[in-house]
Amino acid sequence: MKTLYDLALGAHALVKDVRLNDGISARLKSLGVEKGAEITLLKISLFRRTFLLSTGETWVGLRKNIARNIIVADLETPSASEGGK
Amino acid sequence: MRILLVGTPNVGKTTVFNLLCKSHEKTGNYHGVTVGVCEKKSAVDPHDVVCDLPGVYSLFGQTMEEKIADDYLKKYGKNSDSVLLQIIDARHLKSGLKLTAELCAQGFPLFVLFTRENALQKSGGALEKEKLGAQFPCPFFVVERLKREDLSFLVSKLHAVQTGKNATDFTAPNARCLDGNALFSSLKTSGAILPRAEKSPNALVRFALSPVCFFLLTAFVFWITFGKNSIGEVLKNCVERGVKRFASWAGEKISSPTVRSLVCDGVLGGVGSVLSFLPQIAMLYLFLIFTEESGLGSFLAFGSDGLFSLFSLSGKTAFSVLLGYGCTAAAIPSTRTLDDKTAQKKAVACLYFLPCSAKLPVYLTLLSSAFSSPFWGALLLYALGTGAGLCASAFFADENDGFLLEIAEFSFPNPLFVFKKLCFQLKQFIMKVSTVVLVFTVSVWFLSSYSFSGQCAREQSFLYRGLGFLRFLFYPMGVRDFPTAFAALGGLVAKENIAGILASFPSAGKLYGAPAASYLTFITLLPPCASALASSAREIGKRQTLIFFSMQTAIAFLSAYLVYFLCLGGSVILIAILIFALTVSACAKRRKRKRNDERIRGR
Repeated sequence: MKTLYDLALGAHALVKDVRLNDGISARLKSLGVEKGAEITLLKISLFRRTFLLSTGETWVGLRKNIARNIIVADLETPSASEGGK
Repeated sequence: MRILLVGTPNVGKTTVFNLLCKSHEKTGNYHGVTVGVCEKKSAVDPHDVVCDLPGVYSLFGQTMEEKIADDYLKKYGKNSDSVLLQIIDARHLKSGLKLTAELCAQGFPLFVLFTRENALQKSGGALEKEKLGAQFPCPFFVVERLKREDLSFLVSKLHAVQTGKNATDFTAPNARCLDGNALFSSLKTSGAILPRAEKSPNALVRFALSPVCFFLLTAFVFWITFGKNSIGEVLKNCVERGVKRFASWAGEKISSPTVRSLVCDGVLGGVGSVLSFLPQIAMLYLFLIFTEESGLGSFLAFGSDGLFSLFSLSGKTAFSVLLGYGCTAAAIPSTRTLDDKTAQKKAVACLYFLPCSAKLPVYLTLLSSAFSSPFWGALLLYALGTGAGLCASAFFADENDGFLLEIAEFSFPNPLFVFKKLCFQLKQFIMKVSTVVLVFTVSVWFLSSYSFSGQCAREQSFLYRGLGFLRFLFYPMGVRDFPTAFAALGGLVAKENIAGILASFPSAGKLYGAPAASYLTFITLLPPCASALASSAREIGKRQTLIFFSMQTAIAFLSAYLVYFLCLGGSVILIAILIFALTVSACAKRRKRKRNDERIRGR
């Protein structure tokens, strides 16, 4: 089972599940991180403590304890699927 | 009519509020600038009241400021004279429309203002107004940036919504779909909206997101503010020379010795010396304003989260820490954006120790008398205050849920706007110096120059007789001069008072070596001023504020005593005691082991 924490930098992924308490899940949903959403991992801070991801319109920063509870599945990178757009 | 400004964080609600009310409420390019409700009469129609609410992602939000907004909406949102004006940044349509759907579902009288249309188009998106008009569940207006000429049109539209002429159409298909995702998808499918293309950070943004960028930027700001022959120092010397010339001119013109002493020693000596630090304070504020307005603060929060997590704090605290370098009283309310009360207490404990801009004149006054350049000394004191603050928050139990934040986009702020904001901050500083510091300095001058028998020597004065005993607290720091000791305690009213009093008394502040180091340690760790304590009492309660205050005062005194002890060869004594203790313990262990061996052999 792959989580956001395991993704490589620049990876494009589909969110399969969010296993966090209601408050954090609701905030993530508002920011576009919810089941079925497509995300891209943009930056990982030193020692993999904090992650920056894009949900299309929004950039979201989150810590590893949250990243470890977001279940994802790898997707093809947008550049590969859209001919380098 | 009551206009309630709502929207997700960082969409420009306060900017619209300032335009509608001709106000100067704090703005910034990061999430959580507004943490409380602000009400003012509209400048467009004096019968209207405009209410700026904190940003909310959802009506069922969990953070403290979201609950404040939710409570306010419940109280006033559905009143017959109320209308909601939702601001949506067109670059973030999905989160904005989710909130629109929630507000419509709750039956609020709603009008939507889409801003940053050109920015959306530049990033590959679009708003098709005609299609949107046919489908959108409530009336709306689209602009790039709201201008003064749009205001009367906007207010007339709001009046129409409030009177029910152009109210939210709850029978429209989109008003019935209560789910924000469904509203977004249906508008996207019909071509009414085209969200912008995904944006990847470029090399510059990637660098700005790393903590290295912040450290380099801070070092640069310190260098141009405090460095030898830096812009800050050159400007400060110019102002200082101007104040001295004016004081000597005033001294020649005033014939009465008492009035001359009051004007030259009390007013110009105290207040003038604090004002001479205005250029350096301006440079510090310029950096803070640029960080706030450009979105760099948001990047800093991301980059510093790793460091903050070591002290059981969230990266979101970076905003409060940044504001804390300016003014502690203003920084404390910003901790409301944190997730819970425990996180807020941790952040407030950290802010208590951070050196605010008012401590800057004190540092420079004391460091200038001991060193040719105060750069390294100032850097060390800032590091001491920040380090002590982070350690103070580490004492709390780690119940942190982590860090979760929408990262704002970087944009160069409008230079005119930055200049106006800087002028406003400097005006506030000058107002404080010309009121609180002036009254305090003149009172101290009077109390230290007079007794019941009239003008007298300092040892017979009201101040010395009444509070002279306080100097004994400073003896273990090597500080024997009463005005120097009293100045430090005057800092509890306002930190600027310390520099003011030190400048008013010729003997005060002339500290070198160990006493200077211990006195500066005391000043750095001294609790914040009265207004910051009042702000803290509002946020975390009077009891907790009293505990923090007492503990910090004790820490400040004990640390200063320790520094003096270590500077006077105490470090050698301390190392000798440690070596002796280790040797005794090693000998005792060896003897015990020997005895055990003998006992085993004996058996």
